[in-house]
Amino acid sequence: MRTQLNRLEAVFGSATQIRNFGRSEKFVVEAEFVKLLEIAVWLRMEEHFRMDLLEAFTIFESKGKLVLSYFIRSHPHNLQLVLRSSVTVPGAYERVNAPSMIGIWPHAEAFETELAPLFGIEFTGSRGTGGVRKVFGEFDGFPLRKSYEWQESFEP
Amino acid sequence: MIYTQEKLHTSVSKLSWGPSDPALPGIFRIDMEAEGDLIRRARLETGYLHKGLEKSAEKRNWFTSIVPVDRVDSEASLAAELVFAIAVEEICNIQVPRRAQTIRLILAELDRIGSHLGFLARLSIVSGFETVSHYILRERELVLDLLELMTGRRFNFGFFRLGGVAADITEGFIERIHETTRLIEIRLREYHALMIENRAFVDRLAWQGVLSPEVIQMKGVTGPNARASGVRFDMRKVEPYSSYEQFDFRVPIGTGARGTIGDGFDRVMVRLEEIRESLLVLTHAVDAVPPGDFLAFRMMPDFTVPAGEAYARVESSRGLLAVHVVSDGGFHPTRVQWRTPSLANIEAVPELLRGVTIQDIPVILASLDLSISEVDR
Repeated sequence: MRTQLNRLEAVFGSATQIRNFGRSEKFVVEAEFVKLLEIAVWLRMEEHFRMDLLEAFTIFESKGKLVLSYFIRSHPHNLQLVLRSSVTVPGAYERVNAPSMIGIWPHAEAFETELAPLFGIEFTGSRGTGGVRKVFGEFDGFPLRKSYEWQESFEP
Repeated sequence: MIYTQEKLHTSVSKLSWGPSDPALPGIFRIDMEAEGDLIRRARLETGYLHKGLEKSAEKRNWFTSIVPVDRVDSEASLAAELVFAIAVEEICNIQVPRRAQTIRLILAELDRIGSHLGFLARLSIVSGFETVSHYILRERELVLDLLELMTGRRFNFGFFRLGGVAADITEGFIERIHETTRLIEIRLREYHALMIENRAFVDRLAWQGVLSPEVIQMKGVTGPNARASGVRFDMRKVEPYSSYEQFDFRVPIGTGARGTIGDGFDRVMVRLEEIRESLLVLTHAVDAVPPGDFLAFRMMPDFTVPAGEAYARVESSRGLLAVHVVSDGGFHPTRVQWRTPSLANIEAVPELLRGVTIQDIPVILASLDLSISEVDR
């Protein structure tokens, strides 16, 4: 796997950083936010990777940044990888723009439609099928951000 | 007298079904465009029962964070407990005793059997075979009795702990497992006669809701639904956890025995076969529980998890269940995000409903074994 990742480093140079994911043997490719989409397309199309399945897409907020992690797999090469990028969290009521991955991994739609309203992210570039919509109601801010004021009780 | 089919001149009508209807497998809405009773386009709307589990996990300490985990899917909650425990144990580098791992496996398989029996009962009701559901629920009660004997609860167990399980094997549990597995094995043959050999039941499901490998790949469908379409992917085999590597079992896939590969009938057959395999694993596992501790350490309420992250995956009764846990080293999780099988499986529904008749919707949805609780976490 490390040899294959060397190819990625050779193509994208300092736009990527590679390290281990937690204590596991998986690798994380940390990509510059502006290069995220380009690197995702490359990983999907490149002969030695063919990362054809998005298993999960997660977001968490840490140290003032929203960290986007794509857990991707390659069936042809039996590979697993985490593609990651982060973006600075703006004001509590401001949305962030991020590239949509639906065009690369259609399964991203399930995650993007859910995470967009909860984290205040606008996924741009690809449109999904709109087959399954999420109706969460109105929030004062974006509930999964750390700045969101947690209410212990709600009035009906 | 010769009867000719009447040609109905219909226009396209818009219909909305749900969100609360006993024929649907949960609280969600289907907006349809139909021509007569033929669906041309369907869209789903979920989120009505969103519980905010991921946010509430951030508000709990590590000690109590197992509580909302159970609510991800109350019908098969041990899979969620297991994957959460595996993830946190990876961050903390906790070695789980072998005895605890086997106990976890036994309970996870009981959970799978219970969930699959629940699926068969629900499907038989919507297919018009309510009598069969009573027989199936009778057996599911036996499985819940076993889970209660071990955990003290029938649902939402809260039994797995970081580093093991809450209690050792209860007296008489192993004997009851042998007794129950033998009985269910016999009863599976009865279900076979009542369902699989019943032409009316087969006609209701064969050729219905065919999931193609392309849709499976595109929508990320996993578990018995994907296996019924010939995708032999089971996390217990691909990346064995909790001592699964020690037990031999088959991964059944759909064969298109009565219709075509990946239809509703194959989804029933695969689950029936999986129950059989789980019974086999259970029988071997209870006889192979290693001696030793059932818990590596006692966790205290002020327990902290070192800064780090983990992504763990297990094969739940509905498919690939994964969790991404992030810790900043404090008393609370920074983030707990779930990848549930139903979140992906429900994405395939609009595709499946295109071109089917309205009366087939409940059967197709039931054959997918969707858990709206998993979708609306």
